[in-house]
Amino acid sequence: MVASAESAALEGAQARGASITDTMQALKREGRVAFIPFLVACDPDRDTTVEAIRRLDALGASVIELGVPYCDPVADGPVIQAAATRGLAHGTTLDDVLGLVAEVAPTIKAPILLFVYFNPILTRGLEKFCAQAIAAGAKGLLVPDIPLEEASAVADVAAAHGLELVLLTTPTTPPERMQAIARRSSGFVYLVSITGVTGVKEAMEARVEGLIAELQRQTDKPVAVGFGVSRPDQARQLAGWGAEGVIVGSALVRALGEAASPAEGLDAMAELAASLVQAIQK
Amino acid sequence: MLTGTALGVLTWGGGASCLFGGFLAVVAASKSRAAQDLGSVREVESLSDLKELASLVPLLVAVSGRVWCARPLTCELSAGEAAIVEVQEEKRTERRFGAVWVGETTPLRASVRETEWCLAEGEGGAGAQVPVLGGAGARGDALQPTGDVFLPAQEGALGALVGELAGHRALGTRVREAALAPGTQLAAHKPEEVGIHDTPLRPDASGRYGKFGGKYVPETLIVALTELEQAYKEALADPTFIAELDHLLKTYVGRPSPLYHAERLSEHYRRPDGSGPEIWLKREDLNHTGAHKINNSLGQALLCQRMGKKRVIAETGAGQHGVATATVCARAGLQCVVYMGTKDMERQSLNVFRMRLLGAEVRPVASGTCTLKDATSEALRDWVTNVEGSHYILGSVAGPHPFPQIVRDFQAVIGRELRGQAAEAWGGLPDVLLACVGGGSNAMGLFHEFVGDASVRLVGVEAAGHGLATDKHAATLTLGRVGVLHGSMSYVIQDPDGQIVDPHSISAGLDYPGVGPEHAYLRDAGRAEYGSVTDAQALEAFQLLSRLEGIIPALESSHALAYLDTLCPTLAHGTRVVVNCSGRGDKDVQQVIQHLDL
Repeated sequence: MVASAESAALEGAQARGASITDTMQALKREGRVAFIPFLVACDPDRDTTVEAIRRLDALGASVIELGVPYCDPVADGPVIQAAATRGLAHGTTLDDVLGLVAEVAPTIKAPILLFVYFNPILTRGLEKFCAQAIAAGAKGLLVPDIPLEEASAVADVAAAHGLELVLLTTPTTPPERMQAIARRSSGFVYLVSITGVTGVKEAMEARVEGLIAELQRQTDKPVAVGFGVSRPDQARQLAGWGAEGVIVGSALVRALGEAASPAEGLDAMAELAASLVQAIQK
Repeated sequence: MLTGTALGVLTWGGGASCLFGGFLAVVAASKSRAAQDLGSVREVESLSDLKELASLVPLLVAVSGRVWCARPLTCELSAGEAAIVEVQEEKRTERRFGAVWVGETTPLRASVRETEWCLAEGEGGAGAQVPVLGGAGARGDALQPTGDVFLPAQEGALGALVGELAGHRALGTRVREAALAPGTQLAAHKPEEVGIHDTPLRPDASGRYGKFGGKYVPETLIVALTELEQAYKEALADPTFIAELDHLLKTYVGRPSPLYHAERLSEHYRRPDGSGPEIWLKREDLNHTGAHKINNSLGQALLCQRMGKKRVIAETGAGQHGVATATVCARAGLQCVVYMGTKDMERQSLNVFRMRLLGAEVRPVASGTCTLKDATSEALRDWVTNVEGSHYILGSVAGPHPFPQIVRDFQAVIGRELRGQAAEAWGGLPDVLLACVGGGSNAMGLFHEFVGDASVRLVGVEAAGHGLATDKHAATLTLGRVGVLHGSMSYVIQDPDGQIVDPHSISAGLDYPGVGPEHAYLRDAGRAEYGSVTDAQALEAFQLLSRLEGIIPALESSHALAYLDTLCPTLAHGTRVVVNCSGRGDKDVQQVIQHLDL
């Protein structure tokens, strides 16, 4: 398979089954910038998501962020909302997503980071959810609607199961709080580049450069930047500003989900992903 | 000493780490407040004996035992295990005044975690166990310090120099932790009745009502919520703010709203022998803009002005909150954007026009179910995006802390007035308070003043839509499960996967799949009770009040009125029931025309 052939070429940075921390730290040591694509599970359908994840992995994705479709995604903009709605419209359940992870995780080298709103986790039961996620092969968890105050309880349980909880910091987060978030985040620290929801933005805000530097003064953990990053030139700019990872969601989701057919969507997504990977190579 | 949040099985009084071994339980059938005053006290040897007694006597006053939990929490600073962990983080800075540097402390985080725990008879959970709920909210000092560290600020040399020159320097962060460790010997008390009046704080320091509430929002909003909390605290302490609010409530809103004796409605519910309850209406429908919503919108607009923000965001269901917010924004010269589901815009087209007339921009929300839930999500997204210059005037006692508290407090004027009016009208307290509950702001406004008066029965009425047996309802407390929606933990109507289910009610204001966290708390505590009525029953009540009293109630308020059919036959003669007539029905006439053939 393409994925396994390519993984041999990337030996070192990414051993199969590696944790998010190991993967990110290895890239950091080598001075390489991580490419972290985001997809919504089961949009446009389950098989396309599986294939899309394999193609992203083959293209050199460092970590793959996989969104569990949710009915009220308050942190997401129109593109990801629409993708989640499409996913739910054909009856996608949490078990479907976990099944998808179980199928795809053993065949790729990039660790999977599950992006899940808190209510589905709470409904499943935190313990049970973490046990099932790790059993399926996910390596980390990102819960966009729990801030630091609620994070400790989740982090404890996740860690007990071997799942890393990635925390987000934003432009409105005061420096002291940013420090506390960096201290408790595992895998990497997710810097949200805008005050706003996920989506495609024309230009990166200039203050992001300062935020990356500020965050790196406070932590040794890799800093990955996301929200509003859609084009290779933006990714290159972030890499130039010292970001250790670039997260791209809406633009890939749109390319994949809004194409005329799944095959065209996969090609459009892969083309964009390849240009992003190239843009952040130094 | 009987203290603590009295919830569920047992409430921990804290502090009293008893020295005696073994077990002591004091059981009494008295109504007095302190164990010392009890008329009859019996000591029992073990919890096993207590089981028998519990069926015979109404009160369990104190139990002592050893703390035990099946799944202990891990402390953050120490590696120890605990049933309750409290962490406080504060920033230490210094500011220069002339030549003198003065230390300042700013709280960064106060979190309390509590796992399920119990008091057990013996070591390691052996013997009988009594679960203890809400221990984290109890007063007392049984938590033992488990860590206190100081993390120095990591400022570069340049930063430090700039700080020195500016007269401000960061020292670092202090993190303190205290925990209740398994094995600790202590006593727990259960106050008589439900004893909510003993609760020191609702919400507690972390913004929770028992396990409900909290702040489940994207990180971007945390600073805005903290700023709002701070501004609100300062405003409450500022006599000029209170005076301005009171003045405007009187001259602009038209308060106090009257307490009206509905004699013909009371007559309608008389039994054949002439006995029956007396029904009174709290006339919130007479407020400016036609509903209770303006009490909150006005207060929050004043807060918004204090915070120096020029743009206001709001969500609306029935349109009453949107209209109230557009109104106060017009008065204060604030830009106003109202999010409204397209389905609600259709049902409430009159209110859409009113908002636009008042200068607000009404943004249609066509995602999800196109109702209040989606309008709220969209308003939250707007706030996440424009947080630095905007204030979100949330309209119900829902959402992340501090909204449930702020909205409740601004609505609590309803209950405060009622206390005085009841004293004047009949020289006592009301016996039963009745209000409809969607998110629950008019009910909380009516109840809040009386939560500590154990004799006052609090009854909320939810929308059963087409009936509780169907999937077309909005009866969140009746049929929902614990979940997180729009920033707080409460009851939520959801499917087995945690996806929010499309609710239904004829009344747009009740068509919401969540409910305020304090209602969830009061329900679980047994302090308030919640029933439901169907669309058809609400329509009946809508007509009944119109014909008997010449008052056309809002469809929302009609739900509370319809519940009188269920309630009145069970009430003793002369029981004084106060129904919150939360809004007027003019806005609903267009919609009701489709259902009624007059």
